[in-house]
Amino acid sequence: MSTIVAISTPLGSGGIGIIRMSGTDALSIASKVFCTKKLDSFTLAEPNYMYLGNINADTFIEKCFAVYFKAPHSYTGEDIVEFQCHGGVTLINKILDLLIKNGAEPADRGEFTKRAFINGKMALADCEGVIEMINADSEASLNAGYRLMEGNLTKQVVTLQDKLTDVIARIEASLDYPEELEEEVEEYTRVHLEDIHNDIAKLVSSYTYGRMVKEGVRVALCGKTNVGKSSLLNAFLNRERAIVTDIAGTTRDIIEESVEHKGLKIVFTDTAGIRNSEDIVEQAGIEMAKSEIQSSDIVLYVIDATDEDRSSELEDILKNKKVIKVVNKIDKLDNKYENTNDTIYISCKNRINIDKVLDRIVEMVSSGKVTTGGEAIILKRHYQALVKAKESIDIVREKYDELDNCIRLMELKDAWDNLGYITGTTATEDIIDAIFSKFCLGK
Amino acid sequence: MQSSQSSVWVNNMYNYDAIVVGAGHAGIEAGLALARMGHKTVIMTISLDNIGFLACNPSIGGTAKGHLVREIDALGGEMGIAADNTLIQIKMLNTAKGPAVQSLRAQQDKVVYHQYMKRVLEEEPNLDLVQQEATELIVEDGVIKGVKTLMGIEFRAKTVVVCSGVYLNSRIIIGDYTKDEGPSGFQRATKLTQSFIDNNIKIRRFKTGTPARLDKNSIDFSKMVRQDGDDNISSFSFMTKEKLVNLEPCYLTYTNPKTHKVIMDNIDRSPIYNGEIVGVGPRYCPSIETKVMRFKDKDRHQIFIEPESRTTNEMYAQGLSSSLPYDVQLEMYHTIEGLENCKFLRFAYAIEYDCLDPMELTPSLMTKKVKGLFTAGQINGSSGYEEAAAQGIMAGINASRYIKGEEPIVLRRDEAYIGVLIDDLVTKGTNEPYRMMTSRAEYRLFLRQDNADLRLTELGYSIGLATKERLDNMLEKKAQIKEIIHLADRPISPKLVNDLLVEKGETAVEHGITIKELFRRSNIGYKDVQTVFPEFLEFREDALVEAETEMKYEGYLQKQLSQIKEMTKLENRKLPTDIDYMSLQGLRVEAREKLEQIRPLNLGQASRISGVSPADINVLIVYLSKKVQ
Repeated sequence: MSTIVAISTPLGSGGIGIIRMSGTDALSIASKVFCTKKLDSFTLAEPNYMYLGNINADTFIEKCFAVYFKAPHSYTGEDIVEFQCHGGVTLINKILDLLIKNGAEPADRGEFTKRAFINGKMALADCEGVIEMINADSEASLNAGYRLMEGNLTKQVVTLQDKLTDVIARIEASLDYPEELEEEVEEYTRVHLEDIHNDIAKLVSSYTYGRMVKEGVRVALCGKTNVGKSSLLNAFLNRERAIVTDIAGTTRDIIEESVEHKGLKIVFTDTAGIRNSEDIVEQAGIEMAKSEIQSSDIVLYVIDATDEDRSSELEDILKNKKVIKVVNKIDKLDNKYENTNDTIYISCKNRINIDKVLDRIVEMVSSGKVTTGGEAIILKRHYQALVKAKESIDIVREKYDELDNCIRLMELKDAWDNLGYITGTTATEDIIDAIFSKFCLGK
Repeated sequence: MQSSQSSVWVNNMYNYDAIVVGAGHAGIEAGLALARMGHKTVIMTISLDNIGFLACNPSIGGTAKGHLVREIDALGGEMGIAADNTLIQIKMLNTAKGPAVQSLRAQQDKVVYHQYMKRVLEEEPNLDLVQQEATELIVEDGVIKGVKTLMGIEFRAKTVVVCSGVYLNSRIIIGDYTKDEGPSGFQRATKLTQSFIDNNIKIRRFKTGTPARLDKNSIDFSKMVRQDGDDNISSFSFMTKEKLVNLEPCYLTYTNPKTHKVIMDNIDRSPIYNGEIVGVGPRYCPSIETKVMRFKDKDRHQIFIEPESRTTNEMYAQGLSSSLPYDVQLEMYHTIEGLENCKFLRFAYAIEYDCLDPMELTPSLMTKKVKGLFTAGQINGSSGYEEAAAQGIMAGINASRYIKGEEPIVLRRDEAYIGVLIDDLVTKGTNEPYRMMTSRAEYRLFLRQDNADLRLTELGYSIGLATKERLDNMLEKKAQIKEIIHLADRPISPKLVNDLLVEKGETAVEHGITIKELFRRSNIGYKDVQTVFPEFLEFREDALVEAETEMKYEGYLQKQLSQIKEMTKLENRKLPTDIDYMSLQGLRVEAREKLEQIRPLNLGQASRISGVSPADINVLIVYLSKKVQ
């Protein structure tokens, strides 16, 4: 089995980040990037000992720990090497890239666990869980946010595949019907490969942005002072993160915290309540709140249920934002309220409808009402597949005259199959259908 | 050396090891394979006068189909030898498009081809021929026991291979005229379909067609483009040593807007468009009316005029297949340059026939519902003589192995086009008559027509089908290839080769290179190498061609080899035959149903079923691991 690698700790600015690598080549790949004073080579590492050393990349040197778990005494039952490094997103991704460059493959979701199961490290009773995870992976149902992004990506890749199918079908048709196809395929191939190359290049470069998107949808809590924004944040987090008092204007700094709900990472920012204030510090806080609202993907506009005056100074700012109105303190009211599409009635104090707000956020993201990053590439394996597809297409573009049609097709089909890895389709039937739908062939 | 009738006629019935129903291209190969592998075999046919009949075009081979003929030959089949012996002209296609997609296509003398094949069957020891119409499969407890014929004769055998072609309940259609008959006016078979239905095997209806046959003396060939065979002539069979000769030319002409207008004006009289024809026709072999209707922007279509036989004036009009009424056919043909005054000897017709859903078969071509019953050829939903013969030889081989209680031979997709063909049919099924195409073969760089013997002859010999002579011929070639590649490792000085390189439009070298690197230049062939290094003149031409290809494409062959290794891993993971897919946790509903229906032999086959996703395959992997524990 191949050697797989993945970041095991949640992405974000945690204190430390762990990268796990499992498979027969784990130790040899690790020894290519990691050195420690204790050993001539990391291939000599004692199992279960933690070594302090350096990872040398072209642009940086990272001081970190590495541990070797020898098969079968590891989580997966294979050789495992784990690196514990600093938790910065960029840094940890660079180390991941380095390991992939040295021969590891990005792990699919659930793959470590799957291997653990196959290697007999997990009990049979857990089998169904594994199957669910495998299915969840392919159907992207683990994470509503991913599903949306993948949906958009898939659409783009399908378009690319269609273009590529057209080129391949044209060449194939000229091979299968050498006496019949009079059209000149060369000119067509060259022009369209340029086009396809440009599209893939665009997608590949969106990967960096895609990784940012992966870090969550930004939701700003805003509203007048003392309507319960900080209470709501605490309710979401299930802990007393923000200071809550009866004094209007308690929150001045921006507080940022994230929760995961139905697989979507939501980053909440609690902002200062908006009011006319003489206090310079509070004024600065209000300005920050306004700019935070601007840069957020969704705004929770929190309103006090007992407040008769619903007019808002924020209307201008909120005009172009996706807003959910959250009416708090319904515990103080006698009459009942029905939630509507854009308004949810809650009580932070009695924890009423808190999850409804979270549900609504996920719903807005997964239904496409909020797009956080367009068609950005999020998953590493998608990125890898696109890079490989691009390589194949570039070979044909650049060495066109040296290759015969058969070899060109081999490269183009490789490219197709890599795109198919994203969309989950295989080439042959599509291409044959295209041959017959586009060209008039046959005796 | 005919088997004596007295030994097979016992207890008032015939007793054989094997029965083959049908003596077309599939039946011939199946019968010969069984007989040559040591089984007392009988081939029964509706008429001994249509053995090996080329009912449509008078040609064998073509892209991908030529590969199939080479593979049949490499295994020890007959089609390639017969084609070489009854040739009218032959051409290598795609010579400029890379060695993997080159294919032979030959015009055959269809009268002589039939006579040749009939004689081969007659002379084969262990093989009997009899003119009988099979009407009923004798099945006991789900196991085939023989067949009954229309005359009421009972034939008993351990295995039966049905190769009924397009004869089951066939009907020909020419406009509003229809007639219940087989191709070319032959008698059809009306009873056998019901016997399949009685055994719970699903029947479908397909359609195909053929153009008119024209009188050579009524055609003005001066208005057409003459098409000759290759000067440097090749043969289908690896065993054909004498140089073949092209005997007759073909001719090329085109349809024109007048032709298309005649068709459009009469389209409501076309059985395909007015609903008379219900059978599914092949996309790759469309009638002229289909071409004109579907591709309205094309102002002309190619028409090849090909001789049917040197014993007759009949000419085949490739590209003008049609089921339009006879008067429209006449009017339309007469608009074409060179055909203005052509006389019709036979009209074009469409034919509908019964066939099986090939997903009823295992990869050995045995039916899933009746043990010991095999089917091959057009009855399995394929089209083409070569596709039929390829299935015929495999069905024959596997029927033999079934008798002997041995594991079936299933060729993988990386081993042969035959493997691709059968895997496609039994795993994916087909909604139209299936034609072999090079684009269906994902490992086609390996599946070249020039190395079919290297791929298959050893197997053919080991199962008792290919002769020792054939094996030795292949082994000599193999040894020479090895030697050529070894010789090519020699370093040489730039002085020796720079003249040649420049002459061929390649860049000259400054440092020494090996001869191998010379071979890798795209404009250099073995003949060029021979001019500078005469030691390469010592080898067989086929060995030189092969060695050159292996050196030129080494990098890509390696790449494809690693893909094959990946695939083979899945292929080697056998799925138990008793899996209850319907209750297997984690499979999606569609996958569950497809797996239950097809019951793939291994994970590789499972992964190719449409509707089975990679996630489903993972579920199966988990299941298999669980079984091991």
